[in-house]
Amino acid sequence: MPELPEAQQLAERFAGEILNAYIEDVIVHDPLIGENAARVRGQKIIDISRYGKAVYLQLSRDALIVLPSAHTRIYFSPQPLAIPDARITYRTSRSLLYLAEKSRAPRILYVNKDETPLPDIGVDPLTKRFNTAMFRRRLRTATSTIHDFLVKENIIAGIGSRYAKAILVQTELDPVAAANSLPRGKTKQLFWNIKRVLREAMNEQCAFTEQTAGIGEE
Amino acid sequence: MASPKKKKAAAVSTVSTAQNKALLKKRPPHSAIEKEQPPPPLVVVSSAFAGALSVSPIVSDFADHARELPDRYNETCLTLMERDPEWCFAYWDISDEDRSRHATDAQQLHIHMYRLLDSGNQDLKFIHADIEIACHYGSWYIMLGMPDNYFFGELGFHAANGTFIVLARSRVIHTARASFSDSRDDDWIPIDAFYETDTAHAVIASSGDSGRFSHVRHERFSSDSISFGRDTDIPGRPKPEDGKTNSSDAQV
Repeated sequence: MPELPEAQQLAERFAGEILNAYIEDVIVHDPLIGENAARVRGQKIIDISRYGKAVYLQLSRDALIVLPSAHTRIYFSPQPLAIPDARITYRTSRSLLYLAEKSRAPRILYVNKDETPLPDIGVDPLTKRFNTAMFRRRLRTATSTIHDFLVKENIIAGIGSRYAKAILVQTELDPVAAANSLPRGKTKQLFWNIKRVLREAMNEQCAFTEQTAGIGEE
Repeated sequence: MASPKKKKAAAVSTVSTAQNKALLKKRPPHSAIEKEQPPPPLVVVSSAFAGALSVSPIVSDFADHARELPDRYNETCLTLMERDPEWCFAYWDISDEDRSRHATDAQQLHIHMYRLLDSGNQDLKFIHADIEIACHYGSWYIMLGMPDNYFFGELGFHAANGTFIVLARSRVIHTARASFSDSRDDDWIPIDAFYETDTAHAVIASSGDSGRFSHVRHERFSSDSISFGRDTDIPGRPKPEDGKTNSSDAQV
């Protein structure tokens, strides 16, 4: 499943393709996605950013959250395509956006500006809000293993199992160690390794992005 | 009575002014300027020095006029730039496409300024100011009045049902502090560890620091024990004799 670095790459790709475009039409192929996803017709995409492991599309009134999975395929094309497992198609003023998914789980969340609260996620590890004091405080009160602590979305947003393992290997920590029993030195080392591993993954262009996020190009 | 040199300088000055006027009168229209190749060299010579340099004065007005920046770029945008702890500068533009789509000529445009609790989470926002604007492009200084905070703006208009339709959103800006920092950061890098890094060596080498102090630092931080007192051996500095203090110590 795509994690923070892949989601960041995906958001940048979205921004390059459809930022400042108008959604002129929405074609829902799968009724499970819901009719709400089509309510964004006519709105302008004014901002695209990452929201945890998801891509957040801020529209002129509402918002859309794209939650890619390992099987999600996203296609940008100026011409209509025949995508067999396409679940929704957005026709924007710049290009066509196809979202294809083999599983049945809805991968698009419609956010009404005044009604829908955003999903509750934890602190973004690449912001200033994620600091050592906060990290130590959360670790002290944790009751899980250190691996589970890292992958909990409501504590630190964007880290999945793959990057959690990489971070723990870099810090030389046992994944099943209790999170609240880390020595002070290891806590600090773990904190900096979280930032470093994620930044390095983003800088290295995420070699596995094409497989995990499934960006298609026609 | 004026000397011959002064007369000559005055004559040069008079001629130069007359040339300038003549050139200004003969200035061709914009299209003709753009077609003329090559453009006049961008050399501006004061008339007082024209004679001494034996270069004829050239009016720079041609080039400046032809290459003037446009008033707008026809791209919908809202840009904020922090000026000081309490003010920011904003400029905006609405493209012709957006104007025609939303018929914004008949709408009252607004800039909503939001204050964020955290730079990375735009969900935790509070409206800070609602500014009515009269032009589709322009610039404005905005009084925020809250140092050390995160802000962003949205440019748009209110639809008939009262919903605020956003046309552009700015990036998040952070106003500077107006006082000393109240954070106590206990995560400073140990100074000995810093001087062992390649970055430190590069900084010392590029700073033009004398070799003597580089040597001292190297000696200090390469040894197991670190001492900062008077007992430190500094090459070239005479050691005080046993039981005696040097003059600076005596003063202290």
